[in-house]
Amino acid sequence: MQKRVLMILGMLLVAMLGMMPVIAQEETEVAPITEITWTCPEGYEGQTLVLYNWLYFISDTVIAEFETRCGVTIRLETYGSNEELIGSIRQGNPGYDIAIPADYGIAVMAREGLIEKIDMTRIPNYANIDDLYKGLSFDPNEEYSVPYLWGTFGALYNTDVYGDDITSWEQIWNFPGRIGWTDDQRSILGLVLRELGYSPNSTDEGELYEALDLLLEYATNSNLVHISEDAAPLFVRGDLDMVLTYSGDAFQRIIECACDNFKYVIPTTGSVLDVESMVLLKDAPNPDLAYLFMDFMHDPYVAALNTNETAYGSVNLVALEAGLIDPEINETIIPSAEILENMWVIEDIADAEFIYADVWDEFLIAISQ
Amino acid sequence: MANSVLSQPKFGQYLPVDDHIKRGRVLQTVGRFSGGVIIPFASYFFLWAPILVLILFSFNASRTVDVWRGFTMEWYLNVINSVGMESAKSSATLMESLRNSLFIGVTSTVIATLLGTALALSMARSKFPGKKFVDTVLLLPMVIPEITQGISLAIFFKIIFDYVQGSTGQNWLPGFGTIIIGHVAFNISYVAIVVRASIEGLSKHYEEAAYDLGANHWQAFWRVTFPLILPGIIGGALLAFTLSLDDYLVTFYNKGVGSGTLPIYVYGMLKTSVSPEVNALSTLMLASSTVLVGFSLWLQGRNGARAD
Amino acid sequence: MAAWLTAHTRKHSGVLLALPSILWLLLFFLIPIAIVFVFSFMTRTTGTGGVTLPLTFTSYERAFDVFSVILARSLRIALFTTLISLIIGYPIAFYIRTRKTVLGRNIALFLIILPFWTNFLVRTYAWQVLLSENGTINGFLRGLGILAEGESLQLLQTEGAVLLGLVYGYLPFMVLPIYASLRRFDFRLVEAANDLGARDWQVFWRVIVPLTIPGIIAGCILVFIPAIGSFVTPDMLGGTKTLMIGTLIHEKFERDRPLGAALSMIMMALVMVALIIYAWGMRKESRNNG
Repeated sequence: MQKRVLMILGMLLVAMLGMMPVIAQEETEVAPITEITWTCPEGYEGQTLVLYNWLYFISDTVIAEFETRCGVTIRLETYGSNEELIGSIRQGNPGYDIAIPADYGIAVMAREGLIEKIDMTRIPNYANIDDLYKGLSFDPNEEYSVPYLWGTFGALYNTDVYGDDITSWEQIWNFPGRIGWTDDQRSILGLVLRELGYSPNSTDEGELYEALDLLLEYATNSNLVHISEDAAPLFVRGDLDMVLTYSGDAFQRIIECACDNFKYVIPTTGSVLDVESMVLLKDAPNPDLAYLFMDFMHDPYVAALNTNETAYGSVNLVALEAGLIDPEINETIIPSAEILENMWVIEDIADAEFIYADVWDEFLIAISQ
Repeated sequence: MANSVLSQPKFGQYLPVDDHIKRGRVLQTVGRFSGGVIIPFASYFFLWAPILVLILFSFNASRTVDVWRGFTMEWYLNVINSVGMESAKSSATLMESLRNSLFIGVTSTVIATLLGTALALSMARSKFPGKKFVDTVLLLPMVIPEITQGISLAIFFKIIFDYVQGSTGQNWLPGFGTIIIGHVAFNISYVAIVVRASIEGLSKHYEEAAYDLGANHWQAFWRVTFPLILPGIIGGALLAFTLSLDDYLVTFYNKGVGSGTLPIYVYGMLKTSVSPEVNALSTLMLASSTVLVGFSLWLQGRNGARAD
Repeated sequence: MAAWLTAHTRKHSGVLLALPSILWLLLFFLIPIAIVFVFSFMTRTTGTGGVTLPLTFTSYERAFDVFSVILARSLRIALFTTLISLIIGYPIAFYIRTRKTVLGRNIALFLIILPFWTNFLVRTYAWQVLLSENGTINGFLRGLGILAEGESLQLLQTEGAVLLGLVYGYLPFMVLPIYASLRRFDFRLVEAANDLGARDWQVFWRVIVPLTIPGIIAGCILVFIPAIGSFVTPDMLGGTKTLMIGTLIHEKFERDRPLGAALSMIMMALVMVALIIYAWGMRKESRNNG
């Protein structure tokens, strides 16, 4: 409830701010977006769309809107990682229409023929998406994916332990408190590779083993006590003073906790940008409705609702420019242009993936002794 | 060993064990063996401590389960409202996954208990070629990591389904059937091992006495063997149900649309945190199973049954 | 004649009784595992299915070179888990068995089982809350004045926490089979042994334990084996120092299928060898005693 009040207040603020430029320059009269303008074509009543998604990665309001507007039912099925998603449909698609993999997962799925090409002309609202997120390395020809939300990989830390002036990876690696990492080999090794001056998507074995040595040095010199897929709960409860995790995860914690000693930071030298995109799965039972849904999701007002409820970044440029995004989220999660320039996306590197896996195994085993 | 000290009890003889326990040295002995009541009660506390935490936090006013922020009934209302309602999407999925869990749990437990008990009987009471091999195979489902079983079964189904599609054109998909098959596959072993342990301590004389008294095979089993091994069967079934209810990986890799179970739903939360609705639901489940079990115990108790 | 007939039908009904289970296990367990066995000798790829030709021993070499430390740790933790579960579980089973009424006995039994009808993850999560630095146990100790304000015991992220979590998770697997074997135990044997001048401990070791051995063995197997491969508990309650093989197999199966397959096969083989040696030893012992 409190969240909703905040949101409404935020919206009001945005609306007021949004009016100012209109007063200043009267030639470009942009009608403010105050509602969903998307309309559902007839003939879909009673149909079902199966959405295969991460948990808490879509707004309930948005789902309900789509259901009432089209008279359809959305079924939500969830998975916990790219690997789980891919592993569970390699044996054949059991009936999902749309999935939302993260960046390199899309390339893998395209390579393995698990997803269909998307006809972008059937998604008019595709034009609303910021070009920044289109044609990225995982889908260079904009054939397979419709960008959905984005996030970053950074550090969530307790400002009581070390002040609030962390700005560099050096400070993060040498943080004096108890540290936990999210078990994400591509992101973490990529960070170290970048520090060594190599490509964060390097496929060179020598470079990766160099990264391993540096990472081991960081791990042994600091108080790294936990690596798992779910380190954040330990942080919230006070068993860790810093976690390396994803922005959406971090902001959901910060909003929930409403405490002022939690801070999420991406150093100025940049970090991983993860872009989750909607894909149309092979053998999808209802591709027509899937197209409708993808279009619906990029109605500016819908996209804004989705970002405001999930705390992940919006790829919808129209929504951003119309100031529909909750300013609280907007200010804290969107890195400055300067940082954004230094961000990178994890790429599909095919079999070189195994070098990362081997290096990561050695790392985990070395620090466990 | 001990059999040489005492003769076997006679078939059908009333065994007033409790009277022995009540009096004298036996009670003392038993008391000492079980560490008095302290060890058992400490153990019960150990088992229930996290459950108490879970119940407490189902009333926590914070959405994350992590820190206590005051009392609320909101999560219970969410769970109750979502029964039969489509609007609260994540809670509706929660209820659906609960229904799926119970359906899959009960079905696979019934099948596994029937098959596993039959297997245990035959393993304990008869000889056939390859028995040693079956003995070893029985242990495999416990040795194999769940993920190995889950993925291998999924690959197997993929091959079968492709074959079916190739030869008949029918498009088979994973769903409740594939999940239940997988659960039965690991539960047979657990049931068979527990039931077998209860048969193996059982003297053959009971059954032989029944045959001597003119009972046929069927009667001997139902009237003599079955009641004696019933605790083992119930134990095995409870174990199977518990395992099925908790299984994540075999289910995950063999599920279809709409057949996700409670663990699938809860594991999805690892990325964020266990929602208070899940705690509320767990508490409700616990309360209803307690009422159910309590009622059946009360019924049994009313019949004046005493421990044998 | 009648006796022969009965024996004969019993012999065949034995096979018939076993047949459905054997078929089920063959079809839905052994054949899939055989596929994984083949996978363990294949070459890893990120392509569809995750495996490709040629056949190779690389995965096994890697498994032994890199993962033996973790395997040894997993076996050690599983062994301790089994021992502790036995020490706690046996008295519980005994306690349940010696309730005086059916009602009391069933209540005692269900109080063991009921907690396990809530989700495993939810329960493990609750342990996190209990063991946390600002958690229930530390708060309680501070409240009692045993710990000073601001002080706390490091409970989470230790091997102790993992052991605790595993014992908690598998205790019913120990209690149920032991209870099943105690259930039919005839307490007049105890009395008889006492009458013959045996002391309590002698009675316990010579009469009660031998007669409940099948239950104890079943319980130990049911705890030991799944404990080796556990992965949720070490992940949630342990730290970087408690990495176990289950976590690695879990990850490998999704990212490096041949290695995941090889690790599962090795783990399986190790456990089977241990069980066979154990069974062999037991038979020898019972022959010596008999």
